[in-house]
Amino acid sequence: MKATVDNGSRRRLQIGGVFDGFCGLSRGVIAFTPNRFDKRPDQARVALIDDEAIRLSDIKPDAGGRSYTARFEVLE
Amino acid sequence: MLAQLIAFGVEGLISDDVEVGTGTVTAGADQTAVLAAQTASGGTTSGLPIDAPVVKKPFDPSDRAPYAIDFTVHLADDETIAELRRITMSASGAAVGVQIDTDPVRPPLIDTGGKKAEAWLIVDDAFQANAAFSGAGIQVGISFLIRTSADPYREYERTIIVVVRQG
Repeated sequence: MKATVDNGSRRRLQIGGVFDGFCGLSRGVIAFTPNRFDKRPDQARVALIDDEAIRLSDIKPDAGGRSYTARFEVLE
Repeated sequence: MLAQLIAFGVEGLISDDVEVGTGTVTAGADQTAVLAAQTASGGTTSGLPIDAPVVKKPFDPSDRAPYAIDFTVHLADDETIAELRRITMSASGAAVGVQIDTDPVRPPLIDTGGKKAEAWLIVDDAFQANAAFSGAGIQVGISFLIRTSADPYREYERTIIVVVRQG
C-alpha cells in the first residue's frame, strides 16, 4: 500500500510593497514572511508567482504574526 | 485548482508515492495529536484549520522524529484505518524546508491498533539555521487523508499542527 507524500514546493513570489523572494506553496495556498514594508500584507490583491500573475485572497497572518498565508488563483 | 496545476505543472510539486508500513507507532504521547469531536465553524484564524490540534512536543530543525495523529473519535469501535492515502505538508512548512520524511527506513505507518497514523519529519539541511525557527518558531500543518475499513468506506482528512523551533 502506498501513500502520496506532498511536501509542497518553493516558488518565486513578488508582491509589490510586501514581499520579493521564495514562498512555500501547498495545495493552492502560499506562505511568505514579508520583507518589504510599503504596504500592509492584507491589502495586497495581485502578485507574480514564477512570473505568472495571480489574484490573492484570504490573506491571514500565522499564529505568531510574522508570516502570512494566502489563497490564490491564476489570472488568465 | 486545476488552473494552478496547469500553470505550475504537476512536476513542479514535490510529491512522492511511498510505501506505508503497519506496526506500532513510535511517536510518544507528546508527539501525538488526538482529534477531538469537531463542531461546525467557519473560516480560520490563520492558514491552518481552526480546530487542528497542536502537538505538545516542538520539533527542532535538527530533529528527525515521528509525529502521529489519533483518529479514534472519528471511527466506530470496530472500524479501523484501512489506508493512509495522502500526507501533505502545509505551505508554511514548505516555505522553510520542513518536510515529511520519505526515507524508506522511516515509512509512514498505520498503527497495529488501526486508530493512529504516523509520519516522520525532517528539515532540509539548507534551512537548518533559518530565522523562522528562532524564538517561538513557526507552526506547520501536516494533513493525513485516511480511508476507513467501513463498508462503504469513509474518508477523513485532518490536520495536526507541529511547532518547529530551535530547542
